[in-house]
Amino acid sequence: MTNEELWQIVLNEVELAVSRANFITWFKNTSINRTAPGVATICVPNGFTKEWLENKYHKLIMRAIRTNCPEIRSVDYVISTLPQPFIVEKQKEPESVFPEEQLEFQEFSIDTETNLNPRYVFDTFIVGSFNELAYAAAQSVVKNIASLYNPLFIYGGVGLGKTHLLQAIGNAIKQSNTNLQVHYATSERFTNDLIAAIQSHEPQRFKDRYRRFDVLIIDDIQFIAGKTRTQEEFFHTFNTLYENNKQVIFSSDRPPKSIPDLEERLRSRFEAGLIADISQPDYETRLAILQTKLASKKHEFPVEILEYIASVVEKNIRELEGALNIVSARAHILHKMPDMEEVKTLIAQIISKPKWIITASKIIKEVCLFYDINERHLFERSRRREIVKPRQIAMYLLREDFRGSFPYIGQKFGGRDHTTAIHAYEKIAKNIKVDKKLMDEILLLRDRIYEN
Amino acid sequence: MKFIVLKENLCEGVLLAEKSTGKKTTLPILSSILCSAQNGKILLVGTNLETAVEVWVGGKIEREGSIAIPARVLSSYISLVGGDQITLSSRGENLEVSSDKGKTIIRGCSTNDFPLVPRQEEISRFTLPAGSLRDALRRVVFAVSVSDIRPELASIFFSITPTTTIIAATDSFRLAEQKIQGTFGEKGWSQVFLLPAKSANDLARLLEREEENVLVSLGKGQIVFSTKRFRLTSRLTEGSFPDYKQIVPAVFCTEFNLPKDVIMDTLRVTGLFVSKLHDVIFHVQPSQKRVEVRSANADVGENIASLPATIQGSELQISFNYRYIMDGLGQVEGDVVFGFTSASGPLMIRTRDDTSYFYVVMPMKV
Repeated sequence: MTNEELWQIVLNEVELAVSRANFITWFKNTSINRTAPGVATICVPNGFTKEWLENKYHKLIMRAIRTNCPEIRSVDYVISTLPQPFIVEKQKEPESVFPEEQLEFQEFSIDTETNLNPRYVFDTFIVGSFNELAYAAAQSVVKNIASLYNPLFIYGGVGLGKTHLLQAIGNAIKQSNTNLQVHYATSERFTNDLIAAIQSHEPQRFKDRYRRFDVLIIDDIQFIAGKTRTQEEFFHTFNTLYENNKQVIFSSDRPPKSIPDLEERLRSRFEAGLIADISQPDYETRLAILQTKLASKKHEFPVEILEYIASVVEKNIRELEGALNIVSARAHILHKMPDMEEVKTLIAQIISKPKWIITASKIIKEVCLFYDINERHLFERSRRREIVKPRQIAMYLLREDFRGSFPYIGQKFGGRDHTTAIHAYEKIAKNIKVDKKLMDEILLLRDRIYEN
Repeated sequence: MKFIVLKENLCEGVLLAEKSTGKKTTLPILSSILCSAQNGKILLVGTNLETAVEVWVGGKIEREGSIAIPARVLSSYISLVGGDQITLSSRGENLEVSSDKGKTIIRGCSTNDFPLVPRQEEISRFTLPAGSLRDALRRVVFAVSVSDIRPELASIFFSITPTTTIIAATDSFRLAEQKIQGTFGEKGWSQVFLLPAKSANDLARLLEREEENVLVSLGKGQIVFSTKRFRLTSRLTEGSFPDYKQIVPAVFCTEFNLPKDVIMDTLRVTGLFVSKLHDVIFHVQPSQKRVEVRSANADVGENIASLPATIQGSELQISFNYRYIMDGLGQVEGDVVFGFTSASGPLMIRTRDDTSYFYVVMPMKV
């Protein structure tokens, strides 16, 4: 007889002996457990019930148990700490609180044990060509923990959903198997924990803490660059986890090979599993993201405004959301939808437009620095490969970011014909769509150019 | 059972015990007060199976015994009836109340079915100053969550170290914290627990006129607060309180201070014109040395009030729930400091020169 069956029989007998009100009050949310031979433990929800059953119904319960299960000699009562789902009565939210308008302390929704925010799930993650590899990798890690892609390394620019994806992996793993110890930390948190452990002379506790996880997720790993002690500690933690067949997941804003000041042994370990990138979303995906966000807010927007937002905010999903929020806040204050002109001025406040502060010489200087060539060579009529590529990239950037005319660009590079400039621009524009490495180089270059 | 008490004393005891009786429960006896005279003590007990309040009433016992009486009838009767000394005696399941003004019979019931107050298996024991505890509870309890979906947020957080007791509450939109300094335990000792908001309210009420120490006995899942007059037994909330230290702002982008009366009077006027969302807009203008407070309701009207103030930091426009601001202002005194962190970040309200209390509230999106 299972515990549930036994308890059900006991309850049926007790129900006949006591009044309905007493039965409901004192036997609600109780259960039985057989821990040791001959001993039954009755789990009760609170101290009052424990006191009452012990003092008033003990004989009744004992008799009922013994008739059905004679080998039980003693019964004790414990206050059970198990959550009781059905005693949680759903209450009406107070009318004064408008969750949509009133901001919350974000940090509070974070699970204190796993450090994961339950808001981030796969369901709300929008997949497009720009992130499908990373998404697929994430999905397979959830299904094959520590066996398929270990470590998983996801990289991509700011505000493109790395953290969302990482936390979604954690939440999905936790959901499918609650026994697994999942932990999410930013590399800053990791470093701070380490420093705190060293200061309090308890480095061992730090080691034990991080090495017991089944799934360790470290966000923004690039920040450990240059921190020798953190890298060392991290290296050992990583090795321990990896050897014990635990899943490790990282994110970074750039691929391992482009993280400066990273120890070689760490770099090689990062590259050992799967490296997946998240690039920039295309226009259609941006529009889809906006529509999903709107649906969750239960607002309605004219299509042309959405299309406009999707077309101007190109590089950052977070900015995309910000733009949407600004427009919806505006609509809320005015009690009507702002027209296209208003939307344009609103959006102009938030999109970063560094393009007109850069100069042609800045682009050329950075390109030369990046590829480590002399500026002079760029303008020569040399056809050496190591010169041709930087030259073409410089031309591409001058056209794309500086908006220089083709004749101007041609002129700039030692009086070349404007068709040369057109050819260079088109070639690079075509190649970045197929050549991952080239794309990364250009992204990094842009970072440098726009840095100040 | 038979005893003689001063009406005042009994009335006070009954009102305290009544608050903890169960309402709308499946077990009718929970809406009764147990009245017993035993071992030289007159005891009133009220419970709702989450908390139990036992109140001792001074008086002269003539015959020992006990009876359970419906709380509402007893409390209404006792607060209305005249007389100085009254005699209570049980006749079977009836209670007879007699004084020089007359005689009353109230139908009671047998005490056999009245729940037993759970014994305490003590883990730790310490004392807290009653007055400070009461004030601290009052200053934070309004910030608890009204919904039971997250029980830890519908509770008051206690963190007690040898020299400091921290009492805090949050509903994730705002947070209030009060510190009490004193000597509470040995070096290295500390306790953390969550007291349900309802029990905290009961406790604050019970401490109304206490100024001495409260003895606290902490057990597994249960806590007992006791003084000479009463004993409150409550369950503790399981789970852990969010680590709120990280949200308490330390750096402010804009700060100003104003006398509490000035800002409260202004806000009360602004409050008449808030919209259904209860939003008031603060426009802090350092260049003009003033703070503008605005509200507008399409059906009622609009109000703009301008307060001269010395402001540090940059210009800022931000909106808050009017009630949340007033809740926090009600707890501070004298010169009140407003510290803003950003247009979408928390606002901290506290009394200048008083670091023991603060209130943090999140703005609204509009």
